[in-house]
Amino acid sequence: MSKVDLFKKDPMGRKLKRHLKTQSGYDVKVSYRPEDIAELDYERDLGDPGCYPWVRGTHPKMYRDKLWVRGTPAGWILYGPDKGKSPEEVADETFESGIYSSAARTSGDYHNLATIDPDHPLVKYDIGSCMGSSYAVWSFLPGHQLHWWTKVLMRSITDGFVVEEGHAVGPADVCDFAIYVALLERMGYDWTKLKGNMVNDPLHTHIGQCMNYKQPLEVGFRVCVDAMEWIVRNIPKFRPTNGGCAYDMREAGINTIQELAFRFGNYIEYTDELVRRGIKFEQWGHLPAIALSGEIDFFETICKLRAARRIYARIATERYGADPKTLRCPPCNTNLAGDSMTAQQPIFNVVRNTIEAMASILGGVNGMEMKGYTEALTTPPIEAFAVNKGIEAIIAEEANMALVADPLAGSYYVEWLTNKIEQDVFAYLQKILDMGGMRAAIKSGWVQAEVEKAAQERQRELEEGKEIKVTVNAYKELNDYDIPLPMLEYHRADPFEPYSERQKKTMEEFEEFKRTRDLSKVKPALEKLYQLAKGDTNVYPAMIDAFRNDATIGEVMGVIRKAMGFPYDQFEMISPPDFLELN
Amino acid sequence: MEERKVRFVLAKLGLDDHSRPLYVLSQGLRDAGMEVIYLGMFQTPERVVKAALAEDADAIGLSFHTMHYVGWVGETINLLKENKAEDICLFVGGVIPAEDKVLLEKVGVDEVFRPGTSMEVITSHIKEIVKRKRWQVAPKQ
Repeated sequence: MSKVDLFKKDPMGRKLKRHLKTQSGYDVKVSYRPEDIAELDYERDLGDPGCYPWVRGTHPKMYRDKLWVRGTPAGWILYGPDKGKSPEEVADETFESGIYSSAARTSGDYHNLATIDPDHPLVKYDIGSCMGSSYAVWSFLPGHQLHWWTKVLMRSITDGFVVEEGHAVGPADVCDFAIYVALLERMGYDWTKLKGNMVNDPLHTHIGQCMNYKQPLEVGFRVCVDAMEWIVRNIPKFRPTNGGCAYDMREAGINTIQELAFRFGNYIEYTDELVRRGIKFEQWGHLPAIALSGEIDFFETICKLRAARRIYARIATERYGADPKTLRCPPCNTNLAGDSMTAQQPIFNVVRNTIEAMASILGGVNGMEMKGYTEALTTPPIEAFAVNKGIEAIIAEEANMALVADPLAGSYYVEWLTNKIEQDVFAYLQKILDMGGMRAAIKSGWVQAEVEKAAQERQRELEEGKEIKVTVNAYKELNDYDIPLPMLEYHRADPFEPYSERQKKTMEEFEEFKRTRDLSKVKPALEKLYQLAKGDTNVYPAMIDAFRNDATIGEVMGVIRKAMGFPYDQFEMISPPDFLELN
Repeated sequence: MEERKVRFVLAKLGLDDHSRPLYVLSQGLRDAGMEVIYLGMFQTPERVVKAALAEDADAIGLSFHTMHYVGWVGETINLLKENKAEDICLFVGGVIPAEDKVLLEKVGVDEVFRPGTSMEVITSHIKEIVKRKRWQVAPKQ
C-alpha cells in the first residue's frame, strides 16, 4: 500500500472531528464572558500568588524563586541497556551526567512492591528488573546491588537532595523507608535529616485495581498510617505520604472530578486517623504533596491544579478548623499522563509531553515527572530523558512561561472551569463522606464500580471516536511515515536460559545473606513485632527494629499479616520460616 | 451442526499486576464463541499446564505487561513438552517487542499478539490455529 501524499491530501479538514466536550465531559461554550464568573471575589477566591487559598500558586514569586523539582525514575535507565558495567558504575555515571537534576525516584521490582522476598515462587525472573532487588538492609550495603541508592540517601542528608520514595505501593514504600533508617543508623548517618517525599498511599491500589498484589486493605492501611505518624514525629523534612496517589488512580480510566475526589477522600481518611492519634493538623496538613496527573486536556489540567489548592484550603479550614493566616500550602506536583502516549509515531509523544508540561507549569506545579516518548512501548532509553530535559528548558528559558506567576488568572474560561471543577469535586466527595469515607466506600465496592464504569465509558468514547487519539482512532494516515527514534537496547534473553548475569548475582547475594545472618537476632525481633501487631500500638518502630536485626521485607510483612489474622503469604504459596514461633 | 467450541485457559504469570487485559480478553474470547477457563493473575506455569490438562483445553493464553515473559514462556513450553502436551496451542500477548515475537514463535509459541492487534484478529487466528494444530482439520482450499 502506498503512503498518503500529505501534500495532496491534508487529513485535517476544516472542522474539529471530536465531540465538543472536554476530556472529563464538560460541555463548553464557544466563549466565556464576565457574567460566567460574576460571583468571583478576588481576595476570597483567588488571592495573590503565595496567599490563601493558593489558587494562584504556592509561593509569591513562583518560578522566579525556584523552578519546579524535576523528578527522574531511577533504575530503569540504568538497567535497561546491559553494557557490561556494574549497576553501581552506571549509577555513578548517571549522577555525574546530571540526569538526576534535583530528585530521584525509586521504582521497585515487583517482589518489592508485593512485599515478598526474592525466593518466593512467583518472583523468579522479576529479580532486579527495576531499580534492583530490595529485601533487607543487606541489599544496600557497600558492594551490594543497591548500594548506589544508599549514595542517594547519603546525598539527601549531606546536600538536601530530594529522595522520592515512589513505589506507589504503600507497604513497599514504608518497608523500604524503615530499611533506610536502619541502614543509615548502621552507617553512622543522621537519618532525621532525610529530605524527600513518599507516595505511601495504601488505598489507591484497591481503587485502581492495579499493583494490589492481594495485600489486605487493613494491613496496608495500618502499616502505612503507623509509618506516617512515626515519620511526622521524627523526620521533619520528609513528607510521609502524598495523601492519595491521584496519578495512578487517574490512569485506571477515571475523570478529573473523580481524580481529585478520590485523592482528597484518601487524604481525609489519613488525616482523620492521625488527628485521632493526637497529631495536630497544623503539624501535618500541609505535608502531603498534592500529586496529580498531567493530562493532555490542556485547560482542564491547568484548572484542575488551580482548583486542587483551593480544595485543600477549604478542607483545611472547614473540616479541620485551620486558621487561614497560619495555614501552609503543600506543594503541587504532576506526573505526566502515561495513558496519553501512543505506540504509534512515538515522536508525537514528545509533543504530548510538551503540552502536558506546559499545562502543569501554567497550573503552578512545584514538581513534575515527565514520561519518555517510548512510554507505550518500553521503558525509556537515556535519549528520552535528554528530550525531556530539553522540553523543560525550552518552556522555561525560551518560551518564558516561568516568568510570571499564574498568568492565566482572570481569564473568563479558566476561572469558570476552575470553579466548576471545585464545585463538582466537593459534591462527589460529599457522596463518599456520606458513605463513611473512602475505606468504607472501597469495602462496599462502590468505588471500584465507579472506576470500572468510567474506564468503560472512556474506552467506548475512544472506540466511537468521540475522544480523538491521533494515529490511533483518527489521522491514521500519519502512520504511513516512518519517523525513527532511539529505543531501548534490549538485553535479549534465551527463553530456556532466562536469567541474566546480574540476576544470578542478585540471587547469590540473597542466598549468602540468608546463610550468614544471625538468626538469634532476627528471631526475637520478628516475634516481638508479631506480638505488637496483634494489638493496636504503632508497629513502625518494631518494623525498623526487625530490619535493624536483618529481617527481610517478606518476613516483616508476613508476620504482620499473620498477626492481623491473614495468611502469612497473601498468595498462600509459602509458610512462615521454621525458626519463627508465631503463637 | 453446532461449531465445536475452543476451550481456552487464560492467565497471567508471576507478579504482573496489570489486570485489564484479562477482563477484555475473556469477554472477547467468549463473544467469539470460546469457552474460557479463567485462572486470572499470579499464576505459575505448573498451575496453568495442570489446569489445561485437567480441563482438556485446546489452548493456553498468557498475557504479559512486563519484561519477564521470556522466562515464564520458556518454562511453560518445557512443561508442555514434559507432559507430552505439545498439541495444546500456546498464545502470548502483550507489550512484547517485534524481535521477541520472532524469537518466541521460533521456540514454540503458536502466535504472539503485539499491542494494537484487534480482537477480531486475535480470535480468528486462535480458532484457525487450534483447528489446524489441535483438531488437525486441514484449512479450506
